[in-house]
Amino acid sequence: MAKTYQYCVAENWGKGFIDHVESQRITFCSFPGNVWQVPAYNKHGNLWIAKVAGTLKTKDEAQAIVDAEVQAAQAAWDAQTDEQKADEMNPRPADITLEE
Amino acid sequence: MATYKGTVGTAVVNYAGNYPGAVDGELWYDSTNKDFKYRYPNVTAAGSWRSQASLNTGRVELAGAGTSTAALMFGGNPGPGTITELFNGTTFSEVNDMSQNKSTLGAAGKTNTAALAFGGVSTTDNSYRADTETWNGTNWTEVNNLNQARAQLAGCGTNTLAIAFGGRKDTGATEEEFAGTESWNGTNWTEVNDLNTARQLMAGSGTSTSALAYGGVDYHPSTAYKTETELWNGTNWTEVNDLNAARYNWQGIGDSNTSALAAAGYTGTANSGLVELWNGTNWTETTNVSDDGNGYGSAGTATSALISGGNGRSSSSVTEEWTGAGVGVGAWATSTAINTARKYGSGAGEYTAAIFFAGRTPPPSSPSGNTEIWDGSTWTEVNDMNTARNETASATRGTTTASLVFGGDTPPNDNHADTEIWNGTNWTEVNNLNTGRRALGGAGTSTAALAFSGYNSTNVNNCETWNGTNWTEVNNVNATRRYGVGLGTNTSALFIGGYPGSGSTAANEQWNGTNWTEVNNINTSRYSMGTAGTTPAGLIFSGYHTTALANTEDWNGNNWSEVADMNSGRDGLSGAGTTTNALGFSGGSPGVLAEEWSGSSDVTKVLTD
Repeated sequence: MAKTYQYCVAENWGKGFIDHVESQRITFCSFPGNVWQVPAYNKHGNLWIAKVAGTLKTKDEAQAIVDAEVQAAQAAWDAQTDEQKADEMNPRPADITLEE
Repeated sequence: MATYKGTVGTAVVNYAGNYPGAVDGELWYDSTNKDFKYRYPNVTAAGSWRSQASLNTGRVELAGAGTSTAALMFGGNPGPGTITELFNGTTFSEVNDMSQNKSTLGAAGKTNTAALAFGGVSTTDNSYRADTETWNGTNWTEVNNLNQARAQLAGCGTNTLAIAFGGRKDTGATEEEFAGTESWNGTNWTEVNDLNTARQLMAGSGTSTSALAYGGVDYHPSTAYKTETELWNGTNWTEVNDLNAARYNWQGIGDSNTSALAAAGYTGTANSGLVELWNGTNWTETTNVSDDGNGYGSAGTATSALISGGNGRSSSSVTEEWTGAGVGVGAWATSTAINTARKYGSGAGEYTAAIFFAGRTPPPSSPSGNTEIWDGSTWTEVNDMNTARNETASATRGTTTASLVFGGDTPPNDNHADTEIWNGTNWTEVNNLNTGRRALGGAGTSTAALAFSGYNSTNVNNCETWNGTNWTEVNNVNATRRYGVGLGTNTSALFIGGYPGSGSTAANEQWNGTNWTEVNNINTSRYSMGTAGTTPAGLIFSGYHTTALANTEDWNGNNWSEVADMNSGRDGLSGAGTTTNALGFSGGSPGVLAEEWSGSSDVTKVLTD
């Protein structure tokens, strides 16, 4: 099955990391661990990954990074007091499944 | 041979990458990629329709005049047939009636302060009218009649220079389609050259010297639905290229015989949503209306128009607004991160000068009184609030030198009434809210603010207004909820979305300084969004509904439209700025990210062989 997305790891340095033109051309999606999802087989996605010196990851490699980050966040959440955990706007971080 | 410098007045800039200083259309050489490039605004390739404020009185076969932001809709069925409503860009309001009732009338007028109504059929005895009335912005006055009484006619022009053409006349023995044209000079109607094809219920648009007649129907001797288009040059009608699809019972839109919009109508068997654009030579299909129908009143031009009321639509009071191609496409870009990661804080200010305060840190979370100021390039930590807390609200139109924070929570469940005011250097405690709460909405400035709804052991619907010294209870919101967000001032605000106790709501209420009124919902139900702008032009972005969302919606004073998503969706973020240039910051995880919204964006193109 052809891939829909490609993944890379790149640290968001702020202004200029994604500019308005890039944002208009392709859809970006960020995940824990500085994992970014952009369209596969897409010139603009490839150019952006090159610009930010992103490290390409397979979906499984990206999933492992995201899982590690989510598990760390879940452990931090678990360490909170019961009162903090009861806060309706502070749900336990949910597992994330990346798409192919 | 002309040189680039000689023609443009500047040499080609040599730059490594995309030249940030390029103006639209300027050529530069990208030495990194070895390309010649230029930039131009990224705009929509096609026009679009969106809903606008409804008529107060639903009706069909009415007429319209004016522009998309200053329109007049008059006459029609059912009802007395004299009703006139004026559109100011935001709402329709009833103004003085016409003297004579009528529907399927002709109309002319390029503003909502000067219009002409002529012909039509009486809504009481079905007699065909020759009456003409002129509108001066306040009243209708009867003036000289058409030479030929007729209904289901078309017209265009102004209230001093107009033409009336086609329609249906009563010959005594029978009724028949009519090709007659009359010209109005501000005082009298004069018969001029006829249409080539007699018909009724056609559309007409343009001026008294540059007009277009299109579509319609002829029932005699047998029914024929018309695609014919005729062009008026001030003297004669000439047949030109046909519509792609025959339709009738519609009003034309356009300002000359080279630019027109043929919207919706009736095909003879069904209501149509089809829309065609005239470029002076051909009709081209473009974006359909959302609500198919016929017999509406129209106003505006081929690039910006309204259609109101009509048959077969979801309601006979609905209005849709057309915006032609060429509108800037907005986009989000990453921006400089804030210093201290937080969510559920509050912000205020503008795109280049914003302030962010309060919130809670990532787990193990603790409430924060941190304050940071954005100068357009960096966030700088300044003096903290006196009481650290999260789930606060702010006067959203505050500034970096004058802001207000109120309410909030210091877990577990310490619902604050505290209010603090920022003077550019320090926070000072001032008089409390009457009702302590958290997860509330806010709007206004540091001297004129509004606090509404929220939570303190249960959702509360209280609304309070701040005069710079005290909070005073005013009328409650209609739909109680927490984590809804606000924008605007303390005399004109919106309360958007929220968490009623489970799930989320798309509810949207508007404050007019006295009462909250339910207005059109957001498209994507959610809570804890960021906001920017005011009530005539607002923006919401991101938020939460079962997961963090990236959606952005734009408010035009009546409706929300989905625009480009943020790059990193998150909840509990804050915002500043306007619909043209906004800033979204904090929220979600890691809680430091910021993005900049531009209501327009550019495209960089590479010159190729």
